Amino acid sequence: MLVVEDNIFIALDLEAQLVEMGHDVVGIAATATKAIAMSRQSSPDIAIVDLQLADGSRGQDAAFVLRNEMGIPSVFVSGSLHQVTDDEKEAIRPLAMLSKPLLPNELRRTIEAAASSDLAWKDR
Amino acid sequence: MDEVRHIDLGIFFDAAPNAQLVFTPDLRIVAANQRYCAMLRRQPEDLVGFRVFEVFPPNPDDPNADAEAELQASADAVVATGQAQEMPLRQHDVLEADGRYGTRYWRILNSPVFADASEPERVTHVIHTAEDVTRSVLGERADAAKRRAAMRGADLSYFELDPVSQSLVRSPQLDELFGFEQGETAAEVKPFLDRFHPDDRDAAISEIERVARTIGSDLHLDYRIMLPDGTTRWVTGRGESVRDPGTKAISIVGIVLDVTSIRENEANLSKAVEARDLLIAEVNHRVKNSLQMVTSILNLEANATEDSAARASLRAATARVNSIAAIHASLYEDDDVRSVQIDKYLDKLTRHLRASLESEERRVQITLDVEPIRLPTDKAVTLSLAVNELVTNSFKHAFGKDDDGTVTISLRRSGDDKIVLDVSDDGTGPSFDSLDRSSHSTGLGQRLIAGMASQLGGTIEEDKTSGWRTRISFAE
Repeated sequence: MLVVEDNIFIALDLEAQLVEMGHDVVGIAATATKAIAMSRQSSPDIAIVDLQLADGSRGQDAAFVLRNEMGIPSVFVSGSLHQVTDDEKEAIRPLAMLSKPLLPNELRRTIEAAASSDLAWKDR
Repeated sequence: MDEVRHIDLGIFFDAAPNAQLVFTPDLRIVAANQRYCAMLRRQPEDLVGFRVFEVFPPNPDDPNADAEAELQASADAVVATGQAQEMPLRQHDVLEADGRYGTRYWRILNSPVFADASEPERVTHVIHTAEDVTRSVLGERADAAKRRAAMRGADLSYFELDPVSQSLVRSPQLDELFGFEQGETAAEVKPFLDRFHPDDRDAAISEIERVARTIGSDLHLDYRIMLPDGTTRWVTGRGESVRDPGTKAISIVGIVLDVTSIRENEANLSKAVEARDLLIAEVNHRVKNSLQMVTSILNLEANATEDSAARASLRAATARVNSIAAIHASLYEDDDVRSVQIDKYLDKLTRHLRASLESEERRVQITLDVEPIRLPTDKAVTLSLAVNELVTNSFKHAFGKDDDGTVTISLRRSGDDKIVLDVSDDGTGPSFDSLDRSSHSTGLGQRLIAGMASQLGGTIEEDKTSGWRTRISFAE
């Protein structure tokens, strides 16, 4: 798992939630460039991606490269999901789009649903 | 044959359909027919023997009332030529019986009478035939005055375009609108078309051509013009094509209006709306992010602590923040940010509560029974926190870890202006001891519930006859 999130509290919380579910977290990326570099290095199964990242970069841009160049799907977690256009949704095919703030177990249920769905994994 | 020989010819004079007066060349009245007397509301004896302007004095308030000289000149011409003379249409107000003057317009024909058999060439009298044309003159004037007033009032530029000769007759406002000095351009349309914005000119010309092809069709022009000082103005033209019934010539008549300020206002308004929408989206994003930060910090604290009681408290705090956050998310689902569809929100909250129950492998059900109700946002936030506390309380205290059971949330109107929230459970408590349960009522949750009930301006009732029921009633 990779966490792409520029707010350190949120990033650490997401990491803790993922670890508690029994997943390995390969790292925390605060920008789109870092997210792509870390994915190339460690090939996570799924990326948890915020939309508005540090240095003005966009989570969609990272998720697009991860999906189309590395076959890594993303779960968007953002306070402004409406920023994802229909074209981007089609190109990125996110596993889920979760609105901040996350509710208890929302991330867990999403990841479990994704893991049990063959459809979500067929691109891998 | 008596009808031919013995008739007084004066009868014909009285029966004539025209109003007639007979006077001598020096304007002394000799006779007036019935029609004339009726029209001017005079008796023949009021008139005969007097000079015309003795009985019809000029209106002192009419500065142009020099009718006497004109009438005398016309009579002189009749005498000199022996021919009838038509006088130019003119105003001569008539003194009424009450001493006021009535505005009257007259069309006058003065015809010669040769009554002296010894001098058959000499004009002895003048027959003065008078037609009162006041109504039609004033009617036309009123129409023209209305047109002028309408054009002045709206500062309209009126035009009449001949699509064949390309001539353009227009009011001075049109020249001013297009930045021409008065008299700078002749009566042709070309200089005006030259000032159309190049991007708009072809469309405007083809619209004019279209209207010229179909008589009576409406002209709709919206275009920019470029003024010599370099400014651009938005103008709108409205009119229609008409065919002159006499000449059969086609012309397009209409008005042109400067709508630049309207256009600018529209543009400013849509910019302001756009800026407002961006601002709302940004604030919305920041609020959600901040709430996520708060729950993240609470989660991290909960993970870091070894003490299970402290951990539970932090989890409870997270749940409270979440119920506020869910309200916030519901706020932006429609355009109204001042109130919330509370039934939909409670449905959402219930699903989240169910999900967290499942994750704790609890077997308690939650049922929801709510009417569609909109609440002001602050009340909705308070109410949702109250529901969160009450449901959490039931989970904690009504059921054992492996108990079956149901928590029911109900929200409905009561009477005209009351709303009643009921949260009830059918549990008896893990120790089957209601005393044990009531001991929790001094806890933070119970204090919050009491506080929130009073914040809603409502009353709180508890009923523990079967299970546990808490009712909060408040005014809408």
